[in-house]
Amino acid sequence: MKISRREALKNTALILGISFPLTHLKSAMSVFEVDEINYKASFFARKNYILLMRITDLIIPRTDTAGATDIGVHRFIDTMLGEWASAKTQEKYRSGLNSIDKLAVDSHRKSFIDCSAEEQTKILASLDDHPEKNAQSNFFSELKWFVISGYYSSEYGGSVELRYDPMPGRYRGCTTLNKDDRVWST
Amino acid sequence: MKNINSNSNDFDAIVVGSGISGGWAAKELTEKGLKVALIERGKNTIHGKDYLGEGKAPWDLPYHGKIPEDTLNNEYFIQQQNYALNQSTKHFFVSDKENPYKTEKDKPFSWIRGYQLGGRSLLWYRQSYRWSEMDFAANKIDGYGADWPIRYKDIAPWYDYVETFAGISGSQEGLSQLPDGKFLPPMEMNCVELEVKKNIENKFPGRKMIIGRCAHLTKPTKEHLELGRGQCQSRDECERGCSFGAYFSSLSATLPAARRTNNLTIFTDSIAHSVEYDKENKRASGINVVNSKTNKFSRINARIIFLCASTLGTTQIMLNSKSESFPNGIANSSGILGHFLMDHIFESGANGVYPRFQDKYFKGRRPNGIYIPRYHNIDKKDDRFLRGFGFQGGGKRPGWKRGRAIKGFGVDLKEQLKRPGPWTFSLGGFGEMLPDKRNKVWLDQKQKDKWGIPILNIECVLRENELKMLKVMAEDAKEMLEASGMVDVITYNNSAPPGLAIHEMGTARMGHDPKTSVLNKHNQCHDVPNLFITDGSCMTSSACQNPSLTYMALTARAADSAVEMLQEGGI
Repeated sequence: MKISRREALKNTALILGISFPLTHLKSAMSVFEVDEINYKASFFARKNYILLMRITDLIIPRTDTAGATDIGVHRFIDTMLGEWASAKTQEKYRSGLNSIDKLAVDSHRKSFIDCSAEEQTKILASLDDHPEKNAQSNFFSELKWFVISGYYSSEYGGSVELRYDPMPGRYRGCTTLNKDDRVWST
Repeated sequence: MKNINSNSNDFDAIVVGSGISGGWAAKELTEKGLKVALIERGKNTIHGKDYLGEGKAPWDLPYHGKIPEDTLNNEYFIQQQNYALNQSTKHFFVSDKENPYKTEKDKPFSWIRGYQLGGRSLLWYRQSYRWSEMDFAANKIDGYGADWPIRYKDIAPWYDYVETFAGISGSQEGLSQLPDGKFLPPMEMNCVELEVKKNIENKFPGRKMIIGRCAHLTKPTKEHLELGRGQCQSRDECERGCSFGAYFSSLSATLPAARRTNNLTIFTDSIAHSVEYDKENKRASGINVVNSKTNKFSRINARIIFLCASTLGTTQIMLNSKSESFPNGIANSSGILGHFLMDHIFESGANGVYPRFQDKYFKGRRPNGIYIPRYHNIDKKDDRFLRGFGFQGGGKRPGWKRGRAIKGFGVDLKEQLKRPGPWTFSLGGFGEMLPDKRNKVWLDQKQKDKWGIPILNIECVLRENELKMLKVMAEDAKEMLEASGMVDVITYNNSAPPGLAIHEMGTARMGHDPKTSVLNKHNQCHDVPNLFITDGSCMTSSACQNPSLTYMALTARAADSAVEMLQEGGI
């Protein structure tokens, strides 16, 4: 059974224990139909998949444009780990996510998903600021890069969030950057 | 296409290899009326149609363009060191697993290869610079390497000739160390580059910063248009192939020119195993070919042979061409074959951030950078090292990829990455490597590849002069960037393995003396007058300029000499 994106987000929000603001969704909705309830991750176990989804959302959240989970970057990462990554990288992500969850349990006596958005942000910020706190050095920074590159090299990230120019013609070395001009994505 | 197994496939000329040099040899020889067999070890590649990655956005490529890690580690453990290898280009790189060579563990050499029709002319970075009088005289003056048997005046008209056909964009500068040529209009510098140029030229007399000279059609001529080539679209995806034919490659330029003579026959999937030597006539009589798919052997015969199989490829074929007359490889009575391997030294320089021009940007992806021609050891001698280096680089405003180095995440990060970062500027040196007999290749006694050809051992080491030069490159780059108003200047000196500049050259050098060189001033083997070598293996020194334009000029020049000799009955 396919559920609507709105319901799915509500459901996901329930799972994640947070509430999404459900406005400004139009552009994102046309990009990605979310069915998280029935979705079967190809690499991560359910618990880590939800954890990955939450972290992905915290790294590039929805603003006036779609966030990383809105366009399925967490699924992209799941697919990449299943099909693209070596066994060594797979293990790093498995244990890396476990270690982030363990940080939450150690400091807040509950799993990462059950922490408040504020607590979650704090945990990630400490990993971001102090790479040595990662169980494997720099795991969070790698995961963050995975989310960033997954988002901006996607069609939405590359051509809606940023500007894509497949056939520029003559190169112009000195143009004016206006206040609202987005960066070229490639 | 002729049946390779028949015995009747005799030609006027055979060209082995279809990269930059082989394409030129095929064009020149066919245009002079010779029936030419072009032998290419790789697969057939059709201009346009086989550019599988061309024009694809990151999201249109498998895994957003990334090659699976296991494939990289198993198939491309050397090739992956090259910046251009990804999903959009991987069909143009060899499998390292299938094409082994040996180095000692502490002496790595990165042999980057592309086996297909067009060879590495599809993948090259297209920088095109003339050598100068200083470069051809260098060996004689400081005593390293043999004296070049030619000087600038011998090659100058051939530079004119190949530049006009290939289409080289650049600016006229009047520099003695980097002669001007027949250029198409130069590409634009961006505002930061113009500013840095002004600063460097004001503060460092004798140094110039120019726009890169590159093999791109900024304004195609009638000659280019007739071959179906068009103007550069500033996509900067050249290594995927360009169906506009806007950059020079064998597929866009020389092979179409050769084909229209109706004198060209191409054999792909055909590995040159060895050159056959006719003892009676003291001539090379043909090429022994292994079909890469069936492993079947055959022979193609011709009156003259051009080996253009790339520096190491050509030398491997020659070393493997053993006969009673030449037990150590054809045309190797000197024993020099395989020695004096060179590459350019690089991966040393600096990067900085330019705080001004926040309201300036650019449109398009210029497939070219800036160039600072050599300035050391020109008018006065530098005590620290012999010869010199130039810089390549340029100014950019980075996009989302700078997110890798930004602290923080969430809304702030996302808002930051919508906008370009501050301008950055990079300068990376490319330096001359002295010819040294200890840098060499030889055939392995035991190990053969899957076609029964002994694999190469490669030993190439950077020595004192190179290491000193690398150090000065980084210092000079920092000094120039700081003097130009850059902040946060960071130097690097990455000790890149030789080979990785992909300017490997030498191993079958030209020279006056048959006892100390393989080739004479016409790129003709001293020992075998109908055998010509015009790829990078012929080089007697390396200079510091990107070498491909010089291979083009030497090839066209040698083809002209060869046909003249053929007509006069000399060979």
